[in-house]
Amino acid sequence: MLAISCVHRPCGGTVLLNLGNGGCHKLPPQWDWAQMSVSRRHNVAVSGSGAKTMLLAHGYGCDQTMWRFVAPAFATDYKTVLIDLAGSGNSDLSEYDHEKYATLHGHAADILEICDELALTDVVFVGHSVSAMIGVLAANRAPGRFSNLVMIGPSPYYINDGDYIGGFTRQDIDGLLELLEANYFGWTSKFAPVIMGVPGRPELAEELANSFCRTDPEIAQHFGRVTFLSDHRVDVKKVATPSLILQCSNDLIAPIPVGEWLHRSIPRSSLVIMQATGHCPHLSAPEETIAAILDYLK
Amino acid sequence: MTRGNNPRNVVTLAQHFEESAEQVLDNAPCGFISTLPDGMIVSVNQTFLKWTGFDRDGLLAGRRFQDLLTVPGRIFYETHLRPLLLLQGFVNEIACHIACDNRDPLPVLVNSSLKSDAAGHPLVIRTTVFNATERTNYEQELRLARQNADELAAIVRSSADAIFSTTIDGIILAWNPAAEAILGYSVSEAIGQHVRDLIFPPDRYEEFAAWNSRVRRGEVQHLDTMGKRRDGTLVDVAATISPIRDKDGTVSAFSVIFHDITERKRAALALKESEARFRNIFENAAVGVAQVALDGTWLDVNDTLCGIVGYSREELLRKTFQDITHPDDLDADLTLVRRLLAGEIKIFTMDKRYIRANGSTVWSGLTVSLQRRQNGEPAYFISIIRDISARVHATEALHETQARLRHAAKNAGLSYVVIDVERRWICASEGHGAVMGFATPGLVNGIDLDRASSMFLDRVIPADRRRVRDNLQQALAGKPVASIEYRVRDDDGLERWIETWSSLETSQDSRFARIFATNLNISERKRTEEHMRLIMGEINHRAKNLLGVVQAVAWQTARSGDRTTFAARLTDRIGSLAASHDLLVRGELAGVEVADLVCAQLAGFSAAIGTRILLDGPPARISPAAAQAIGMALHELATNATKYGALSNADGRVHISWHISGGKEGLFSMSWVESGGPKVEPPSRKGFGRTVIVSMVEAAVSGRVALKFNKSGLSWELQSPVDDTLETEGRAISPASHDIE
Repeated sequence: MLAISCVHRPCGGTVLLNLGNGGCHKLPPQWDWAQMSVSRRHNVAVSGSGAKTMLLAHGYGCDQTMWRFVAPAFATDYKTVLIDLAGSGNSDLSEYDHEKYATLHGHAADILEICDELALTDVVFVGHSVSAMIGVLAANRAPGRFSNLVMIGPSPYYINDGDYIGGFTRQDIDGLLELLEANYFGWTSKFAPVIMGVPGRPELAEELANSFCRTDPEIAQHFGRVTFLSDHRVDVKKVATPSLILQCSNDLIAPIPVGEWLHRSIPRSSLVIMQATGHCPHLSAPEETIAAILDYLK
Repeated sequence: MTRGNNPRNVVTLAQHFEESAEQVLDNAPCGFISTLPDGMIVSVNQTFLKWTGFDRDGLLAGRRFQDLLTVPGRIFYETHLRPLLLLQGFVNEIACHIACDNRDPLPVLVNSSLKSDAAGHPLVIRTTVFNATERTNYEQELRLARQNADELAAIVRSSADAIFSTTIDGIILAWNPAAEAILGYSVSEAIGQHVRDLIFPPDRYEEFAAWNSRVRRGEVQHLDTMGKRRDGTLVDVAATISPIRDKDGTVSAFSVIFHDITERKRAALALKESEARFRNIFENAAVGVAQVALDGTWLDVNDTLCGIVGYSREELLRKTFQDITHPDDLDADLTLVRRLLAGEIKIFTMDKRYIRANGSTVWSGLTVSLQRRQNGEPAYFISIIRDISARVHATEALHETQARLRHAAKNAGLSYVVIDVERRWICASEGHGAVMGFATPGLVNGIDLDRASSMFLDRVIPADRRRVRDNLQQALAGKPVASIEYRVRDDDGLERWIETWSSLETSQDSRFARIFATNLNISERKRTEEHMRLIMGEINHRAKNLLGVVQAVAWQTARSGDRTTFAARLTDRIGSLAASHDLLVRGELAGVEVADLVCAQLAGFSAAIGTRILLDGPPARISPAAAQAIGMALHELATNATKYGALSNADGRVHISWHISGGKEGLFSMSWVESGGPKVEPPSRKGFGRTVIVSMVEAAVSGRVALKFNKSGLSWELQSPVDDTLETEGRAISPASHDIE
């Protein structure tokens, strides 16, 4: 039995919840999931049977679906834990607290909370893009929790700053935010039905109906701003956890100088420059990605 | 590795594929680009080149599609578009910009699909690019429109007024939260219902039909009406019903706004009641009330005022207050009005006269205040007018009465004092000081009773003070008091007799309230009374003396002569006494002139006086006792002279002289000297006659008489102290008189 508050407006009182049957005296109940389960809030999916744990966190603009080509490869050796970041995919959007997620520390706290709830230890944290930095922050706060960090296409700061080459100017980022607005303008009313209505691909439509890089436009903008304007160069230098930096060739988002800067800054790091191009090697070159990670973890 | 993964083979295949379609697609109204999975461009159509200005060979020389995008587009491509493409095999209608060669970025919509081989490995990406310039503009407008619509919707949602729309037939289409709050129907209960049935009271159906037809014609209707709530109660609303027109201008729906005016109605009703109340006060006031324009025109007047000045309301409203003000009072009135307008005074009050409609004059008490507008500008006057004719007449009558009383009191030598016992206040008439012989400061206008009493009692001579104080205290205690006579010391230090009568006045509730005391200066009367009392004593004394004298005279007369002449002699002597007494009484017993005394005793010889009888002496007033003795002596001398002396023949003379020597302490001398009479023989015996002319005189005036029987005639000389003989100057009659006994 758990004492929680019922958020059903006319009720609003504290009720005793029997997790077995659920329900409040008014239906349908809307439970305050935050007080119930961080795993539910983040749509956590656990699979695999390995003794060790691998937690995979997606990058900006997508969700845990992006691991579909690589995750199975780790399932024999690892218990794989897939999550949706707050505000992404099938996470509980009603829990998106703009204040909490005004920095990546809010997301890092979520990662630690998930580890607590699932009692995860000795975690290999695989983070793509912005999640690489979330992993850095989480590992800095609880170094004992993580055995390794695997960073795919990481960047501590996207904006050029003196000698530091982040790859973009502030104007570029502002342009991106405008573009996001333009694209999300019709997202919910237009894009999703089109995507879901693809004839002859029912399995995809089913999947998309649940979640496919879909999000609330307003949250996407907020998260985009936090992602592309955050500067974590200082935090990166404090990382004590052994880290792998997977750097793609020709990555527009995180160019090679950034990978090299990270490698120089993180004491116990390995840098692998991949054949794969672009920003999503786990999608475009899953085999190479899997091989690089397993090779590092061996 | 499969052949398909060999980049070169893919290009060959793709080129082959594209070549077959090129002629068809090269000039299609959209751009076509084929790339390898990593974005490397392998084919591009003419349309794309035309839009973007790129050179085909340049693009095919190793450029990637994402490199053609603006930087934000590239980021979006990498973070959104490419993952989606790899995951689901296609993306549709992604908005981004192509960074054209030497041109502004071109807004485009990108559709891409991924062709994979049988094993699922990506082979080629086919991308269709639509020129989105128009659409972007449209979307921007749409975004703006949606934003406006959202704002408008937010206004409607948050409006405190019920806002809803209906079809022209009255079917409710939209229903905002305020409509729910004011009318009680939820959105789901309201939408689809007929507005007339739902929220119009049955007795308003006709009204509904009327405005419905008017709004159908395109008019906007504003009306105050009533709405029926879900619970059947009614609510007062100000309704605005406007036509909603479709594109071609036809009225297709109505928008209705209900503003809840329950409060406004209540306030208006309260205001109306309040106004009615004040109107009632205005109309029924016992005083005249008027609203007067700044130029003096009567703007509003009540009946009482009409009654005072004798004009009808209609007549009065055509006049100004100046028109009906008495000419003698107009200047004073206008001066005050000017001061009021100048802000020097807030209000003024004056007594003035109006000329009534019938030409008579009415006295009124006028009070005027100035009402100003919110900006401080004078607006109008408020005048209160009381008819004070009765008061004025009463005051005049009172003044008249007071004047009469004052004159009466003054003429009577009276003064009066009014003591207000309750307020311990005292005031006196104007002549009070004159009556009392001293003035008490402040008494005329009234001063404190204790102070006045103290000052008054100080003036009362000590012997009378206790009596006066007791009398006063008795009066102050409300007990009836008799009149009281007492002496006061006046400002000259002289005693003054005052008589005071006090009467007590009770107020209407029978409580003792005032003492009315009348004062009279009775000094003169007192003196007269004293004089009379003395005279009475004197007369009593004299009468007893006289009776003694008469008794002695009778006895001596009887003893010394024969019986036949007794009666004549006695009568003669008593006659002498009576003559002296007459003189004395005529002189109010204050003495007699010597000459008068002589003439009186020689009454029988009045013809001889001045010839045979000579009188010689200064004016001298003989005291009553002396006059009685000297008078009897003169009578006796004259009787003897008639019988035996100078008056017994034809030639004899009598010289009667008197003089005073040595003033007040000096001697009074008087002589009776006879000559030319028969030969004088000294009498053989001393009869009563000698007793009268010698002993009685000597005793009466403490003097000495020398009686000589000369050959030439008898001589009688008296010398006595002036003090014992004459009435000295200023000497009042003393109760202690000389006693002959």
